[in-house]
Amino acid sequence: MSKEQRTKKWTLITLIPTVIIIFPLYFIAIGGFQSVAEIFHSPPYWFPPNPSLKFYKDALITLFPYLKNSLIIALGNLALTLLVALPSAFALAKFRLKLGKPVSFILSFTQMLPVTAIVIPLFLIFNKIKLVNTYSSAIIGISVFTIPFATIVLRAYIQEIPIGLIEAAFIDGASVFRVFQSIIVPLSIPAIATTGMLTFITAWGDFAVSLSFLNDQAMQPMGIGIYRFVSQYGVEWNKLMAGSMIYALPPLIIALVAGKAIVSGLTAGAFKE
Amino acid sequence: MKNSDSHKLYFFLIPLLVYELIFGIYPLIYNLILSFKNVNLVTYIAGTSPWVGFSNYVQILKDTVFQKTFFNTLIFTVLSLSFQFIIGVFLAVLFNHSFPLKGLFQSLIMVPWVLPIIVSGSFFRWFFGDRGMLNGFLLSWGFIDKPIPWLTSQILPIFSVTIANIWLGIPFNFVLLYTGLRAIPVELFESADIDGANWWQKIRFITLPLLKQIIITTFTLGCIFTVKVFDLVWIITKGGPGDVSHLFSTLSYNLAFEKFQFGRASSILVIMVGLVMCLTILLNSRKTKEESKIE
Amino acid sequence: MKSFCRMILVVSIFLIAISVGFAQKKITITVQDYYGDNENGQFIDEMAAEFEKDYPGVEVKRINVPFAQLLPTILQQSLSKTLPDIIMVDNPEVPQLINAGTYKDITDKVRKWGWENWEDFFKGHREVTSSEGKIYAFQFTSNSCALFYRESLLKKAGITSPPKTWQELKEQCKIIKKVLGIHGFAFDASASEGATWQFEPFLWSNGGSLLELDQPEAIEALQFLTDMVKEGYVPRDVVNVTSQGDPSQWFINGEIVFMVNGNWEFGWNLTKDVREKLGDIKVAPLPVPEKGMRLTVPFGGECFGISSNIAPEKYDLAWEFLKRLVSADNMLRHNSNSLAGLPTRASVAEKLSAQEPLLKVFLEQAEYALPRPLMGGIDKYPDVSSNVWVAIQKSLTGAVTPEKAFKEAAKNIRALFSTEEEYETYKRLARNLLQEVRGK
Repeated sequence: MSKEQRTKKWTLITLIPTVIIIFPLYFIAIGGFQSVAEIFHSPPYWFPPNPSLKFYKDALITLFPYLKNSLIIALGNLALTLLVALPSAFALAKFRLKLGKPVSFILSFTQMLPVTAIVIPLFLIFNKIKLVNTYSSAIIGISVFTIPFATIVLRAYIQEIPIGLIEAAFIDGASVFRVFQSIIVPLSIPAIATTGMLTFITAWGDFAVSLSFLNDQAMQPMGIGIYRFVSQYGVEWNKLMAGSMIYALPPLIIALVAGKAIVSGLTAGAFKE
Repeated sequence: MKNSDSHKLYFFLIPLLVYELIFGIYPLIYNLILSFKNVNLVTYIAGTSPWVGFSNYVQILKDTVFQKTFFNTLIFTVLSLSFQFIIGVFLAVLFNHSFPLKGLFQSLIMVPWVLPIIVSGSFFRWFFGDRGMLNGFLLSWGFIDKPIPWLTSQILPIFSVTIANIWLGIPFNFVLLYTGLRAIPVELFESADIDGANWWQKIRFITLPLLKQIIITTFTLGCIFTVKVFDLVWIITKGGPGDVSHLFSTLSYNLAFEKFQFGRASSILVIMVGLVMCLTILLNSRKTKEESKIE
Repeated sequence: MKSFCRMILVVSIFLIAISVGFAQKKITITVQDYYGDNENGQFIDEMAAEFEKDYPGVEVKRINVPFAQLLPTILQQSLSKTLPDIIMVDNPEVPQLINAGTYKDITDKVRKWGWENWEDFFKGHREVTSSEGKIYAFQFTSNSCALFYRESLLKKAGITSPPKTWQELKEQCKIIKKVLGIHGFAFDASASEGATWQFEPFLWSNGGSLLELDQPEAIEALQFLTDMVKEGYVPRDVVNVTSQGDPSQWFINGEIVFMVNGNWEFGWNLTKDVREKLGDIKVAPLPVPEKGMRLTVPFGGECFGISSNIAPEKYDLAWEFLKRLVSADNMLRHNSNSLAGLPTRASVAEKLSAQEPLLKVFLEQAEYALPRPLMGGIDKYPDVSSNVWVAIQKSLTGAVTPEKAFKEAAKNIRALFSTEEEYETYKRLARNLLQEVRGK
């Protein structure tokens, strides 16, 4: 079997689970081209019987104003999260600190409550310090979840970096920050890419925190925007599905980019002692 | 390491600690306090809820719906974690080769996480319906002659919801395990090949030990996130029909925002968090022996 | 180290920069609802624009909350004293919120406006938005439910007219199953208020009460619906629908012939173009248990009031806006253009009678439609209702018999009341209201 055939074989093998996993996506994608009654048709249509672009257009028009808010909130959250999580993960992963164990456990504990249980107390605090109805409030509110999560994940990866590299640097007289900048960060690129992607997707998909903290529709992100199609009397399924496809596009692009970073990070020789 | 540098480390950690104490721990304490009071809508808003000690807990532990919910959550969590992990490992190994279209497939695997849950949840609700796609498929191929009540019986709904959740958790597991797998230097595998190791030996002596920390983290986080899953179940069954598919999170929400019994709702959450705390401590107590850390 | 500090600085500046809002020089009246862009929402926008023209320097701002999030949002706002100026809630929840002090007492304002305005509202609406002689809100729009049917499918099955009694409905569905091979009937039995709401006509028309579910009248109603599912006349999927809107899709696709639904569908799923395309959508009153019994239905619709923590200087302005939303002229204007809502004032309802034959059934029912909270423990209604829908689901899925389901529900409902006397008071209230309508 030639090398080309061998690699193409993996494409075919991986195609199977990939298709199984994304098959709901197919129905959601075509749902946006149908009327609601057609979506409900039993048996379901495999191809839209009377495809129409109207619903995708309507969804785009409705959702577009929310796009900039989603970007501000998700990117702001990403920056804040990585900024706080990366150094903390380094400290927790590689140093025996007195506070290390309790901090690790606290990070886990703070994630155990469902969002619906956290939103009211969180809002009460944020309201007291007058940090509501601003983009920062949503960013910081979401970071209450994303920072611990990112810290824990990054710590796991940083722990795998051989301790010898770091000790050698210290013996050579490097400061903690220098070690962090020159050794940890470059070696953690795949981990940072992974964590960054998961953080971004979490923040992009936020609904509860943004809804609670952002009264002003002009600041709300798309996660709330798609609920414009959900009302008391029913759901505009076609627009909701079309809107979901639009909504899912940026994170998928981020996943594509992050994927490359995950692969590229560890070229041969990084860990040569 | 220079001694003067150790305080710089605290510079990293103290902000995080303070941050988490205010924003992370406060909600836990808030719910804990609420769980010891008798709270309805009026007293909640007025701030006049009376203390009733453990009576919320006593009542909730006696409630048959809660007991059923406990088993539901157990089934849901154990099955979800197991299958998500197995599928995640399987996919990580598959993707650990290079092949055309790999980048595209990799990002497509994220789809379950990326789709808004109102849509993916609704898809599964329709998929598992009596008149839904799965039954339609099974009926038309003659596997069954009557629709299976995936979401309308007393036992099946929790399993149907679990299947949906497994689907939902695949990206998370895959990404974490795959990134960990990528970090293992190729040379280790190559020298193992030279030494004549077979695939099982490679897994046992190279892959698993090096992935250990990541596997434990994946399981711990997976556990924490799975137990508190709310949206998916709420959208597919709302805990029904007839309260048969409640998880702690949905039952708590139902008690709080549909029955306005906030004290009892919080007591469920406290129990839930307590259980997960124990599990987390258990999972993470064994790892510290082999860690190498700097003093 | 330097570059790291620089990064922190940049991010902090970024965060601070985007947290600075711009100063508002106008007075803002906030109105919160879940209408979005539907007809009711558009009406409020119109009223807001007119109000802003008449009161320069005042801005009326709508806050839109997704339907399912309304109560949690109001709760959060109540706890933090950040309620919007004008609050809307679905009517079953108004008594609870009145008790919790969410609404401001506007009795004096109403007195100045003129009692005839207040008394123009239908009795049920007045009962829901007032408590102990004090007025807290107005019911803005109303709706009720009826039997929608596809006439062409009925004809195809050889049936000439829609059923008037439960037995007729059952028999017609039997024929439909035989001849057309489809389910005849569908309704909402999801784990939500929609299920209780659609069950109430069956319960009340049979003389049953939400507070006495262990009595035969209530059990018979549940038995009827359970049998319909068992016989295959109703798809079991009804326990899992998103809302009352899902059966409409089955209805449009011709997969069911009868459905319980409300007049809002004329503005939602069964809009003009859909009705024209299908050409055979008709409405009849819901069937009653036996010939000659009086059909008794609940009313739906939302209420608007002023929040209790409104700034004193904004109170008069907010009242002026609220008045406009429910004035007779504006209500007539609003309801003349749409079939989706019913007027809540008797004078307006008179003028609208029979403009559209499809609305006839609903308009006739409106005057005697019962207020759900008063039929179910007033502020305890949401809790009562949740016990009802759980019982309905248990019975329809065959988990327990209707009798067992309702006996358990009745027990739970009794436990909601702290004393036997309290329970008896509410029980009698519901009975009286029922007797007034049914005349028995």
